[in-house]
Amino acid sequence: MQTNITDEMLLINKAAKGDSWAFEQLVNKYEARLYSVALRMCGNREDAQDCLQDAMLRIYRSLDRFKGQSAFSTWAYRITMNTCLDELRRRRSRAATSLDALLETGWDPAAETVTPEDAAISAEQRRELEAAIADLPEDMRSAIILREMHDMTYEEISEALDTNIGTVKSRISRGRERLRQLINGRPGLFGDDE
Amino acid sequence: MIENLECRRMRNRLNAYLDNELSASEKAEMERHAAECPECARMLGEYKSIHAMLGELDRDIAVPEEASRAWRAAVRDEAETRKRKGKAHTLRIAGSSIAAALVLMIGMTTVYRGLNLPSAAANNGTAGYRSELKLTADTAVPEESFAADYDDMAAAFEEPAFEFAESASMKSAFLESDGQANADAGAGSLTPVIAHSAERTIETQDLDACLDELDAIAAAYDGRFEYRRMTEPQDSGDTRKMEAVIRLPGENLEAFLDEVDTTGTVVSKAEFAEDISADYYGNTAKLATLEAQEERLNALLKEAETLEAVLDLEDKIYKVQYEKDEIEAAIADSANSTGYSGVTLTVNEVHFPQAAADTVPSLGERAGSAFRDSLRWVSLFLQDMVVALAAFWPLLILAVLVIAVICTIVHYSRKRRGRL
Ligand SMILES: [Zn+2]
Repeated sequence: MQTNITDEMLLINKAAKGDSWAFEQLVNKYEARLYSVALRMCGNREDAQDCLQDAMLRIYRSLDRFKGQSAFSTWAYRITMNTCLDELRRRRSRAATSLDALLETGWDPAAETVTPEDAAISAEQRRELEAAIADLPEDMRSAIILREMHDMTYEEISEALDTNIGTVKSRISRGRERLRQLINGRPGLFGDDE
Repeated sequence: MIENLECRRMRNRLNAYLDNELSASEKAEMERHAAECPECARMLGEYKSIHAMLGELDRDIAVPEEASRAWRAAVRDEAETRKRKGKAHTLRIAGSSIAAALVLMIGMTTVYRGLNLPSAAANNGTAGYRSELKLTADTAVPEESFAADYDDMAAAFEEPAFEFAESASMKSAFLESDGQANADAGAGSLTPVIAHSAERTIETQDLDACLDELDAIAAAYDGRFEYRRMTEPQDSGDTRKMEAVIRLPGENLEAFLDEVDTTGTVVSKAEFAEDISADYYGNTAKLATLEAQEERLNALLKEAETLEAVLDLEDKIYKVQYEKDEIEAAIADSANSTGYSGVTLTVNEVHFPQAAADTVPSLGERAGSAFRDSLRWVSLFLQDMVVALAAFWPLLILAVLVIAVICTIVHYSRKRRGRL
């Protein structure tokens, strides 16, 4: 992932001046990870697609204000995360579809992702895990996604979420415990062991 | 079991374990406890299992083609609009810069003309005054300080935009100096004798009424017509024209001209001063010579003995007296000029409504002459602009600097405001 930094700066400079081709070259390697963030934050494909588009536009528009204080990837994560949180806030104010409602109307998280032969985890495990993530409170969810799924350091997460490291650590440890409880509360994943 | 110290340490280190922040011995310690304590073993297993599954969950995630296409299209759209907006923005900036520069230059030139500086003398005859009608006023006056005043007046007249405004004060200045000059005349020293003259051009639609009015005005100011001529139309396109010279007391001149100016449309005004000292003093000297000569001839005549000599002397005396008469007349004329102003007046009759094709210039001619006038006006204005530029460049540079600073500040504050 850590490709040539000077190449990246070159693309950033070009894209900041409005070169959309350079922008696409720049974000191509982050596209899937940003989509993953959007998908796990929103919990469904349609909203994830909207959030990804919004986030890309925001990144493109504010690129001329990116001064390299952090890595470009961290900055892109941060904008994407903010876009998703905005979307969730909007959705809450619409007071409409809860995740449970989505699940009941036949939402199939497993259908979102990869081909079965690549999977190191079973479709059943995947479904359980996705449902548990979706049930996490937002602050824990965002921290857990960045730490456990995107392998970001606490420092990077604190930049991406615009909070201090202590808060990030607390959210992650609480998030891990909550996730374990959520999964234990559902049959299938660990239930067999007992 | 959970109250066990070992168990509690185990729980506290779960996160550090997953984050790989523990030393090898700390890890070994945890695993040792897990082997003894099934409760802690289960918890550690679940933590490790969830951690591993989360790492796997989106490892090979593929962005749906539709989602990828959607954001790329949105970004390309945005790039297009931005390019268009950028062009429009550049055009707007360029346009407003040019407009601002024009306003600045025109304003500067106008202000410059208004300042009436000596270098502004290039503006002779800005407007295309018609010169069909002329009126001239003369006065002749010996005067000491006139020369300097006259220079000022001449300078004032070279500034056409202020010609009419200036002429009133000029006239009074020149009438005041008349009085002073008359007082000085008795001193007998060789003071200069100046003949003042002025021109007026007037148009009227009703020549007869205008002439009656002029007669009345002339009478009111003790003026008498020295010369008067009516020109009747030569062909159908012509109009009538009256030219006259009116002589009147110098102190009445200003008031007289003011009233004359109300009898019709004044198309031009001009006033001149001519130094006639040479003629005046030359004639006086010549007269003295002739008188001496006449005296000598008379003396010779008394002593003449032959008829031939008498006839010769009488002939000479006659010639001298004739010359003396002429010179005395000329001197009297100058003396007359000294106290009186001669106003020469020309009035043209115009028929504006008479739309006959031969009297009214064709559309082409009118457009042509209007175009020539405007060209002349523009060229004069541009010349003034160049001169004004030379006069104001430090202010101009200052203005440009101030504007640049303001633009920079606005630009940066806008940028900062737009930050996420
Ligand atoms: Zn234990």
